[in-house]
Amino acid sequence: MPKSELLQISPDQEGNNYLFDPTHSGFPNFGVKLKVVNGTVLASNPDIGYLHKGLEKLMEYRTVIQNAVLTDRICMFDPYNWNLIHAEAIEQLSGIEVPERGKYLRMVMAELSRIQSHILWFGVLSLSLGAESGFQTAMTYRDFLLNLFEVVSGGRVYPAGYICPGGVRWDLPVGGEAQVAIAIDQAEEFLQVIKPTIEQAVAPKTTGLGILLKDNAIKLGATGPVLRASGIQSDVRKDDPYELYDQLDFEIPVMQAGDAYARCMVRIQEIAESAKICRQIVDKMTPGEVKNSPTSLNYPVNIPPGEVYARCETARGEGAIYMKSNGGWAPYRSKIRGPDLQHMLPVLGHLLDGAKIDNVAAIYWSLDICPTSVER
Amino acid sequence: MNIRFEYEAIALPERYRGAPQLNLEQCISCGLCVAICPNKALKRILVDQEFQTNFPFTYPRVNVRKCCFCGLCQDICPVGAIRMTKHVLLATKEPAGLITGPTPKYAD
Repeated sequence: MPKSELLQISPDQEGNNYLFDPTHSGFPNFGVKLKVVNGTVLASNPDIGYLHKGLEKLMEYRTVIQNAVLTDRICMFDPYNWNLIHAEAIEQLSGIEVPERGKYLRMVMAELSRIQSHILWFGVLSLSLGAESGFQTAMTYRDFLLNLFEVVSGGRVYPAGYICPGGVRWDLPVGGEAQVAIAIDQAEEFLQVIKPTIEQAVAPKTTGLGILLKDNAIKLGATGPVLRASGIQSDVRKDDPYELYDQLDFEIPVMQAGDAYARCMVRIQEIAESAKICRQIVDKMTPGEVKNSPTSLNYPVNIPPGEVYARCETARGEGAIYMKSNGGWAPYRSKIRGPDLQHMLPVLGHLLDGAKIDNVAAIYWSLDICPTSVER
Repeated sequence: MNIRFEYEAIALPERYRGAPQLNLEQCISCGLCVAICPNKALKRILVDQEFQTNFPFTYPRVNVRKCCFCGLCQDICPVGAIRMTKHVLLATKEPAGLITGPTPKYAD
């Protein structure tokens, strides 16, 4: 039977239609329509729902600094990396140089944001697998990082364009380096604390589920941890280094199995690697300017005409902004390319075919999709 | 971190951005904050007629309901007239109370 016919809800066909949506405890704010026979998923149809925010259109009539604030909203789990992508795009178009301390601060906050995102992901994964202690542990340790974000940028979740074109909005407060070091210690402590949860809850319930082979991962457009769990070493920080990542010593975790457990372990190992990066940066940081031209970018400045494709490694994969400017004070077009659309529509649909309905939530959370980033 | 709400104060860091507040006596009516506000939460209006002899220009009115607490107005203000306060408990039964100013301090 063709797949397109299965997706239509019709009482004549064999099997049952299910809607996995926010009413299910293991699912976030979007739904997946499933065609199920004897507990096996025959076809799936992800339904984004009402998440469209129109961010790309909003960016077309806002100035540079206003867009920096707006880019927080692309993905609430990982706002610093999206700030960074927008800042990179404007800097490549305008040729603005960033001071060294500004670059280091950007990298520290981007890596801490990645750690925070992975910790939150681990919490929700454990919750969907029925291990609530993992969720509570994760939320506790995420709170330490949020406290640091609040001290540095003034916002717990949304940094309000902390990483802006030209540098960062504020330097670390007095004693900030020590607080960053404490936050890194707490992130590494988290890795020790969750070991029993991984062994007893995550490993038995994710091993062998949703296997994504190497060829399929490339064909379906997977990036980030999902691609690396299928045995492909691909990371924008290594392949196309931005900021000062080429001066740092870190590894890219790669797993060969391609199943849900491999995707989980890649992220767990990434927390350790990000902590390593932060520790190196804190040692290297020297006092200095954090922002080029402290005030001038606040005013509506004309963006030089041209096109640019700026990309960075966000917590979920490769994020990018294609920006075109005609020389006005706002970009003519900015196309946001998040990793989550590929993970949600082609990859999730591919992995759910033939899966047991019990495992749908585990497979979904192993991909770590941010629904708000799917539909900007 | 848990606190006993209403009995204990919330510990806020120095850079915390609460509701913005305008100090009319310092304002020079340049309009930069109105121009930079991403959400158009600030609007220039005249003060009440009885104060117009001392404050003859248009001054920003703050609509906290539209505010995204980015703090750009505070950054750009050349005289420091508009500030992000530590006012964090904004829930109210009277939403009109969240639209503040511009009123001189001695009006109360």
